[in-house]
Amino acid sequence: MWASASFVGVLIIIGLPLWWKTTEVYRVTLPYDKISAFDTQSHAITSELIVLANDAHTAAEVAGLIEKTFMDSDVLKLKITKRLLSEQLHRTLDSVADEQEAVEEVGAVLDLKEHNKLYVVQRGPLFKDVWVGGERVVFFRDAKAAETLAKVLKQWIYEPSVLEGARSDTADSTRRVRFPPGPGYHVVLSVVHPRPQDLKVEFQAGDAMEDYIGSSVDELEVLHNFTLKSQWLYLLNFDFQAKEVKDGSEWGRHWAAREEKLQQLLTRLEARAATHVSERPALNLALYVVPCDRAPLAIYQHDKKVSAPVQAFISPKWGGVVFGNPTAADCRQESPVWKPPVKLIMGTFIAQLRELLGITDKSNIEGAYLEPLRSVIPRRWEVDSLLRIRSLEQITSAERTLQSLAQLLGEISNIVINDEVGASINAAVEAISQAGDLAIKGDLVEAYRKSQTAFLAAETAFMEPSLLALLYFPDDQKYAIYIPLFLPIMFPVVLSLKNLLMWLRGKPVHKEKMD
Amino acid sequence: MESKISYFIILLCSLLISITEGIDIPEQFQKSNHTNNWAVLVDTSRFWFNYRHVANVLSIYRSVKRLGIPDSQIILMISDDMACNPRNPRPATIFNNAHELISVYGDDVEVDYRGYEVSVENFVRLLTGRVHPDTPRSKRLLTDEGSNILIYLTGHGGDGFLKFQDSEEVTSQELADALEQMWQKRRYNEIFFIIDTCQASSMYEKFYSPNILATASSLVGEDSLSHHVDSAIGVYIIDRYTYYVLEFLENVQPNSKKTMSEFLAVCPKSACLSTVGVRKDLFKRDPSKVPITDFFGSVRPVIVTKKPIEILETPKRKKKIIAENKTKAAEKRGYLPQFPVHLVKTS
Repeated sequence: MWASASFVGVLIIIGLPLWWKTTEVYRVTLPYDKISAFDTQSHAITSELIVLANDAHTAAEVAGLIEKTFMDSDVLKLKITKRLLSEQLHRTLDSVADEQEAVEEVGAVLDLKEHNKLYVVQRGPLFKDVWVGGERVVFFRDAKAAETLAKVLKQWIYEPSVLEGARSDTADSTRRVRFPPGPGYHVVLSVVHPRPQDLKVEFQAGDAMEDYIGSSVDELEVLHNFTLKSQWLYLLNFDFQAKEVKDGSEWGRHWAAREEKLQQLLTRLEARAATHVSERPALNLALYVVPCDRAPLAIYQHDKKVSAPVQAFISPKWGGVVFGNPTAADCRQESPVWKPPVKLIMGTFIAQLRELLGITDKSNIEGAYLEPLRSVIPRRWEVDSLLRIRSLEQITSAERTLQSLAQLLGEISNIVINDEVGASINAAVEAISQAGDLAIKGDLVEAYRKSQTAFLAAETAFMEPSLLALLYFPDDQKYAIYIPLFLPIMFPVVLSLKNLLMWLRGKPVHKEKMD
Repeated sequence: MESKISYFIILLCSLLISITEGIDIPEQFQKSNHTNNWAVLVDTSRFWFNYRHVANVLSIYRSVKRLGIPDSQIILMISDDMACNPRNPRPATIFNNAHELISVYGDDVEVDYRGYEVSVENFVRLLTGRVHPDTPRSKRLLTDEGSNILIYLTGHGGDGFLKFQDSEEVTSQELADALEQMWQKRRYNEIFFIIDTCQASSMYEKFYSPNILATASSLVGEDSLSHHVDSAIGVYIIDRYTYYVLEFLENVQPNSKKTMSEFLAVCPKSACLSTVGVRKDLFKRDPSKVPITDFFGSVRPVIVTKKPIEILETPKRKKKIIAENKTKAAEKRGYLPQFPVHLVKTS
């Protein structure tokens, strides 16, 4: 009997708990309560706005209207300060003829370098109600311009609708175009030269990339890291199925390529461009040199020629293509040589790059003047706007990732959560709350950095390769292993239980033998 | 007389109505809001006698590529290299037909996972995105919330599993869980799942994530059969279901108006000898209104750039990368020409 009891003891008292413990799915305790408390619609960003006017009445009126305009948006909180212009600055602003000079005068007194701080300054001699340049300064003429000013702030500078799109569940039109957030991008300029034997192209792709794109993205280094690369792709033929159209140009004709055909060029380009060698998402820029016998190529949209200085298009989240059309004179030379108009081409690439990185196109507003961009660097307030959009996008994306991870862990019970995953989840939760607080406080750059930490930590947590470990071993298959393993041992043990119980109660086990 | 006139008027009216109806085309295609297309094509079986599975998967590969999905958005997993198998009498070709009508191998096939890389683990990792951090981008399924994914699996299967490589299997539960994880991470907009194996429909029965349309070559309890033998090769050359699918897809052009319900009706029992299974309850749209190009073709929105930036000054990058520590290129050395022709003056 002692033998039987020891078997039972080992198996049930030691074995069962041990088995239970060792086959348990290892899961680090996670902050489920914090994760389930996330509200992606609750995040908002504070921005500072300083109204500088000549008299207190104007300042109050302008500030009041702006405040009213942004009252209903819960995604953007404006901290408006009213101030009077100093006598001296007032006089200089009224006497200086040029707007750029006026901005410099303002810059001499105020600090325009600070992120997330916009100055709205009154300046009498303006040819329009409102003037916006490249710095963080907006000029307005007088109190009557307040309405236009509010519109400018709403549609050009703060863009609450885009911010709402960044945190919303479904992608809005701008989110569908810009690249998803990330720590960095790989920008590749490919010069596509289908027929190098017929045309010589004199273009320093590397230098152009460095000088134009490089100077442009250097201004965005607070947001992302960029790596730049350029390459030439020869003999990449693509049939646009273009139709010849006679016209009065130097060529006497142009070739009409339908817009619907263009997407197939991307497929051809992708096959050769080899941009996936980089670990980062690649932003493709391609200069397609049109062969002489197909030049000039024009894009047709709804059977109408696109009128633009350069024929070009972008594909959302992929990149941009510019068609380089050699002129008739270039092609009719003895040995044709084409020197691309670098400024024009790179200007087009910059315009495409801006859109792909999330800088929106500004539509016209009656009474307001937006100084056209004449250089490669983005406007300072556009960088702020990008920081706001990306911060929100990253915070909400991190929250959603964690929420679905938490839900998934509830649904699928045998996913292992090891310490590393647990650490990244905790880090992400921590960073989300910090980023949210910083955004409310208005510390934009720090909020962006924290939101990026949160975003990356959440992504690593979800995409952690170790999460797959036990998935491989579904419940129903466990029985297939346990039953043959344990049943032969359990059987006699369970059967002996009855005898054991009787023995424990002090009853004789083998009655016959007793008498 | 009057009755005649009224009869005539009625006739005219009905004619008019029918004409206006003809012009006023009802919204035939429900619009999809996907922004890109991906395809995951998997052949799970090795060995020469499974030639037909490679032909199957390459048939689909050929079709999706022809209809516009770029190679970078097709993940092709093939466990064995039939085209270069020494038993193949015509190297570098794989045909779908003994008459050698279509070489499904084509000119450029980009295989992403080959040989023993085709494992359950890699497949599930690919779907869920939980790949090793060093995995190249071309081997990742980089889909997002706007992606429509076509998943095609072929190989040997049974009730509730699909065998990989003669050594392991993926169960229907694992597959369903993997898809759910994709849905949770917003890795797809819609999925079209095709599977050509024996008892194929058992593989999609456990799916529980939304927006999945699934079809299978056979129901539970049925075998999926092969189409015919090529006596030159000595083995079955393609499976019935995929044979008829390819036949159907060959007639689809990127701009064609064929719908998914037509695709789902491909290969009736008289041709397939097995019943094609369909599961639509997870799919929100009506397959008869979904164009086939939503899954087999590729959408890539294009926006024409009209406003370039007029740059006034040529910029110079301020932050030059500090003198790259380029290793000095070694002096180029070479052999002299074998025959010193360059020394001999020719007139």
